[in-house]
Amino acid sequence: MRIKVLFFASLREVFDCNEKFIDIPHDGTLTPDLLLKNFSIAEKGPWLELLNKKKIVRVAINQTLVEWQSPLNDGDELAFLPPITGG
Amino acid sequence: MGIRIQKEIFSSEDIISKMKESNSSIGAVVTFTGFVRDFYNDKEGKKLEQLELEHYAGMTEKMLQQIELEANTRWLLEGIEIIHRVGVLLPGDPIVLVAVACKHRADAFDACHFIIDYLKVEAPFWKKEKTNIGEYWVNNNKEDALKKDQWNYITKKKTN
Repeated sequence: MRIKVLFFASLREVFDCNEKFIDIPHDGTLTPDLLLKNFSIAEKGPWLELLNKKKIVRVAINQTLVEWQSPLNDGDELAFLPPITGG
Repeated sequence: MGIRIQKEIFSSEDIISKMKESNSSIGAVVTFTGFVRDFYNDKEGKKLEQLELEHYAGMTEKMLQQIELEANTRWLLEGIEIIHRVGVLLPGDPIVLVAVACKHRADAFDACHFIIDYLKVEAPFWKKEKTNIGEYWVNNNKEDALKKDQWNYITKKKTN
Protein backbone atom coordinates (compact mmCIF):
# COMPACT_ATOMS: atom_id res chain seq x y z
CA MET A 1 0.00 0.00 0.00
CA ARG A 2 1.31 3.44 -0.92
CA ILE A 3 0.37 6.47 1.19
CA LYS A 4 1.28 10.08 0.55
CA VAL A 5 1.98 11.71 3.91
CA LEU A 6 1.91 15.49 4.37
CA PHE A 7 3.43 17.50 7.21
CA PHE A 8 2.50 21.08 8.04
CA ALA A 9 3.87 23.95 10.13
CA SER A 10 5.74 22.70 13.24
CA LEU A 11 5.55 19.08 12.01
CA ARG A 12 7.02 20.06 8.64
CA GLU A 13 9.99 21.43 10.56
CA VAL A 14 10.26 18.33 12.78
CA PHE A 15 10.31 16.03 9.72
CA ASP A 16 12.28 18.53 7.65
CA CYS A 17 10.01 17.87 4.67
CA ASN A 18 6.54 18.72 3.31
CA GLU A 19 5.61 15.29 2.10
CA LYS A 20 6.84 11.77 1.70
CA PHE A 21 5.56 8.61 0.03
CA ILE A 22 5.39 5.61 2.31
CA ASP A 23 5.18 2.02 1.10
CA ILE A 24 3.71 -0.35 3.64
CA PRO A 25 3.10 -4.08 3.27
CA HIS A 26 -0.67 -4.48 3.21
CA ASP A 27 -2.09 -6.82 5.82
CA GLY A 28 -5.39 -6.00 7.49
CA THR A 29 -6.71 -2.50 8.00
CA LEU A 30 -4.20 0.30 8.21
CA THR A 31 -5.12 3.44 10.14
CA PRO A 32 -3.21 6.68 10.87
CA ASP A 33 -2.96 5.41 14.45
CA LEU A 34 -1.31 2.12 13.38
CA LEU A 35 0.92 3.83 10.85
CA LEU A 36 2.22 6.21 13.51
CA LYS A 37 2.75 3.37 16.01
CA ASN A 38 4.70 1.31 13.49
CA PHE A 39 6.91 4.14 12.35
CA SER A 40 7.61 5.44 15.83
CA ILE A 41 8.94 1.98 16.72
CA ALA A 42 10.77 1.29 13.46
CA GLU A 43 12.17 4.71 12.63
CA LYS A 44 11.95 6.68 15.88
CA GLY A 45 13.26 10.27 15.40
CA PRO A 46 10.56 12.64 14.18
CA TRP A 47 7.91 9.87 14.34
CA LEU A 48 8.48 9.53 18.08
CA GLU A 49 8.12 13.28 18.42
CA LEU A 50 4.85 13.12 16.49
CA LEU A 51 3.65 10.30 18.75
CA ASN A 52 4.35 12.50 21.78
CA LYS A 53 2.21 15.26 20.27
CA LYS A 54 -0.57 12.92 19.17
CA LYS A 55 -3.14 14.36 21.57
CA ILE A 56 -2.99 17.79 19.93
CA VAL A 57 -2.46 16.64 16.34
CA ARG A 58 -5.43 16.02 14.04
CA VAL A 59 -5.43 13.86 10.93
CA ALA A 60 -6.99 14.33 7.52
CA ILE A 61 -7.39 11.68 4.84
CA ASN A 62 -7.86 13.02 1.32
CA GLN A 63 -8.39 16.52 2.75
CA THR A 64 -11.17 15.52 5.16
CA LEU A 65 -10.76 15.58 8.96
CA VAL A 66 -11.03 12.01 10.28
CA GLU A 67 -10.44 9.98 13.43
CA TRP A 68 -7.09 8.35 14.14
CA GLN A 69 -8.85 4.98 13.75
CA SER A 70 -10.18 5.66 10.24
CA PRO A 71 -9.07 3.22 7.54
CA LEU A 72 -6.42 4.13 4.98
CA ASN A 73 -6.53 2.91 1.40
CA ASP A 74 -3.89 2.57 -1.27
CA GLY A 75 -3.10 5.96 -2.81
CA ASP A 76 -4.60 7.99 0.04
CA GLU A 77 -3.26 11.38 1.07
CA LEU A 78 -2.72 11.46 4.83
CA ALA A 79 -2.00 14.80 6.52
CA PHE A 80 -0.86 15.40 10.09
CA LEU A 81 -2.20 18.75 11.26
CA PRO A 82 -0.76 20.54 14.29
CA PRO A 83 -3.17 22.85 16.19
CA ILE A 84 -4.87 25.15 13.69
CA THR A 85 -4.29 28.88 14.23
CA GLY A 86 -5.85 30.79 11.33
CA GLY A 87 -8.13 33.77 11.31
CA MET B 1 -20.18 33.29 -2.91
CA GLY B 2 -16.46 33.57 -2.95
CA ILE B 3 -13.51 32.05 -1.17
CA ARG B 4 -10.09 33.46 -1.76
CA ILE B 5 -6.75 32.45 -0.30
CA GLN B 6 -4.25 35.09 -1.35
CA LYS B 7 -0.94 36.77 -0.55
CA GLU B 8 -2.16 40.21 -1.59
CA ILE B 9 -3.77 42.74 0.71
CA PHE B 10 -7.54 43.29 0.34
CA SER B 11 -9.98 46.15 0.77
CA SER B 12 -13.14 45.47 2.76
CA GLU B 13 -14.81 48.50 1.15
CA ASP B 14 -14.27 47.07 -2.36
CA ILE B 15 -15.71 43.70 -1.34
CA ILE B 16 -18.82 45.29 0.21
CA SER B 17 -19.37 47.53 -2.85
CA LYS B 18 -19.14 44.55 -5.21
CA MET B 19 -21.53 42.48 -3.11
CA LYS B 20 -24.07 45.32 -3.11
CA GLU B 21 -23.74 46.04 -6.83
CA SER B 22 -24.47 42.42 -7.72
CA ASN B 23 -27.66 42.10 -5.66
CA SER B 24 -30.22 44.83 -5.04
CA SER B 25 -32.14 42.86 -2.38
CA ILE B 26 -29.22 43.16 0.08
CA GLY B 27 -30.24 45.21 3.09
CA ALA B 28 -27.35 44.46 5.42
CA VAL B 29 -23.70 43.45 5.16
CA VAL B 30 -21.83 42.40 8.30
CA THR B 31 -18.07 42.01 8.07
CA PHE B 32 -15.40 40.65 10.35
CA THR B 33 -11.81 41.67 9.69
CA GLY B 34 -8.92 40.11 11.58
CA PHE B 35 -5.60 42.01 11.77
CA VAL B 36 -2.04 41.15 12.78
CA ARG B 37 -1.81 42.46 16.33
CA ASP B 38 1.25 44.63 16.88
CA PHE B 39 2.51 43.53 20.27
CA TYR B 40 5.35 44.51 22.52
CA ASN B 41 5.96 42.43 25.62
CA ASP B 42 7.75 44.57 28.24
CA LYS B 43 8.84 41.67 30.46
CA GLU B 44 10.55 39.79 27.66
CA GLY B 45 11.37 42.81 25.53
CA LYS B 46 9.61 40.93 22.75
CA LYS B 47 8.42 42.70 19.63
CA LEU B 48 6.59 41.19 16.66
CA GLU B 49 8.38 41.74 13.37
CA GLN B 50 6.53 39.44 10.96
CA LEU B 51 3.75 36.92 10.88
CA GLU B 52 4.02 33.97 8.52
CA LEU B 53 0.87 32.16 7.48
CA GLU B 54 0.94 28.65 6.09
CA HIS B 55 -2.04 26.63 4.82
CA TYR B 56 -3.00 23.23 3.44
CA ALA B 57 -3.86 24.19 -0.13
CA GLY B 58 -6.93 22.34 -1.37
CA MET B 59 -8.18 21.29 2.04
CA THR B 60 -8.49 24.90 3.17
CA GLU B 61 -10.82 25.76 0.28
CA LYS B 62 -12.78 22.55 0.88
CA MET B 63 -13.29 23.31 4.58
CA LEU B 64 -14.32 26.91 3.89
CA GLN B 65 -16.83 25.71 1.27
CA GLN B 66 -18.34 23.34 3.83
CA ILE B 67 -18.60 26.17 6.36
CA GLU B 68 -20.30 28.39 3.75
CA LEU B 69 -22.69 25.60 2.90
CA GLU B 70 -23.59 25.08 6.56
CA ALA B 71 -24.15 28.83 7.03
CA ASN B 72 -26.48 28.78 4.03
CA THR B 73 -28.54 25.96 5.49
CA ARG B 74 -28.92 27.85 8.78
CA TRP B 75 -29.73 31.33 7.48
CA LEU B 76 -31.20 32.93 4.38
CA LEU B 77 -28.18 34.72 2.98
CA GLU B 78 -27.71 36.86 -0.10
CA GLY B 79 -23.96 36.38 -0.29
CA ILE B 80 -20.78 35.33 1.53
CA GLU B 81 -17.21 36.43 0.83
CA ILE B 82 -14.26 34.92 2.68
CA ILE B 83 -10.72 36.14 2.09
CA HIS B 84 -7.75 34.74 4.01
CA ARG B 85 -4.19 35.82 3.43
CA VAL B 86 -1.11 33.58 3.48
CA GLY B 87 2.61 34.27 3.30
CA VAL B 88 4.46 37.05 5.10
CA LEU B 89 2.34 39.66 6.90
CA LEU B 90 3.37 42.71 8.91
CA PRO B 91 1.93 44.10 12.17
CA GLY B 92 -1.31 45.95 11.41
CA ASP B 93 -1.96 44.03 8.17
CA PRO B 94 -5.41 42.53 7.60
CA ILE B 95 -5.36 38.71 7.71
CA VAL B 96 -8.93 37.61 7.19
CA LEU B 97 -12.23 39.01 6.00
CA VAL B 98 -15.66 37.43 6.38
CA ALA B 99 -18.47 39.42 4.75
CA VAL B 100 -22.07 38.26 4.91
CA ALA B 101 -24.91 39.92 3.01
CA CYS B 102 -28.59 39.46 3.92
CA LYS B 103 -31.94 41.14 3.57
CA HIS B 104 -31.93 41.97 7.29
CA ARG B 105 -29.25 42.50 9.92
CA ALA B 106 -29.96 39.70 12.43
CA ASP B 107 -29.07 36.85 10.09
CA ALA B 108 -26.02 38.71 8.81
CA PHE B 109 -24.63 39.17 12.35
CA ASP B 110 -25.24 35.54 13.32
CA ALA B 111 -23.91 34.03 10.09
CA CYS B 112 -20.73 36.15 10.15
CA HIS B 113 -20.09 35.14 13.77
CA PHE B 114 -20.73 31.48 12.92
CA ILE B 115 -18.36 31.50 9.93
CA ILE B 116 -15.40 33.06 11.78
CA ASP B 117 -15.90 30.71 14.76
CA TYR B 118 -15.77 27.69 12.44
CA LEU B 119 -12.92 29.05 10.33
CA LYS B 120 -10.77 29.45 13.46
CA VAL B 121 -11.07 25.76 14.33
CA GLU B 122 -11.55 23.92 11.03
CA ALA B 123 -9.69 25.74 8.26
CA PRO B 124 -6.10 24.47 8.18
CA PHE B 125 -4.00 27.63 8.60
CA TRP B 126 -0.96 28.00 10.83
CA LYS B 127 0.66 31.17 12.15
CA LYS B 128 4.32 31.62 12.95
CA GLU B 129 5.37 34.73 14.84
CA LYS B 130 8.79 36.14 14.06
CA THR B 131 10.01 38.43 16.83
CA ASN B 132 13.24 40.23 17.68
CA ILE B 133 14.07 37.42 20.13
CA GLY B 134 13.11 34.39 18.08
CA GLU B 135 10.38 32.74 16.05
CA TYR B 136 7.77 30.18 17.03
CA TRP B 137 4.48 28.60 15.95
CA VAL B 138 1.47 30.18 17.62
CA ASN B 139 -0.47 28.02 20.10
CA ASN B 140 -4.15 27.60 19.46
CA ASN B 141 -6.66 29.17 21.79
CA LYS B 142 -8.54 26.41 23.64
CA GLU B 143 -11.62 28.62 23.90
CA ASP B 144 -11.96 28.69 20.11
CA ALA B 145 -13.13 25.07 20.05
CA LEU B 146 -15.74 25.83 22.73
CA LYS B 147 -16.98 28.85 20.81
CA LYS B 148 -17.42 26.70 17.71
CA ASP B 149 -19.19 23.94 19.65
CA GLN B 150 -21.71 26.40 21.10
CA TRP B 151 -23.27 26.64 17.64
CA ASN B 152 -24.29 22.97 17.94
CA TYR B 153 -26.74 23.95 20.65
CA ILE B 154 -28.31 26.75 18.68
CA THR B 155 -31.31 25.53 16.77
CA LYS B 156 -30.97 25.77 13.02
CA LYS B 157 -33.24 28.49 11.82
CA LYS B 158 -34.33 30.33 8.74
CA THR B 159 -36.20 33.47 9.67
CA ASN B 160 -37.30 35.20 6.49
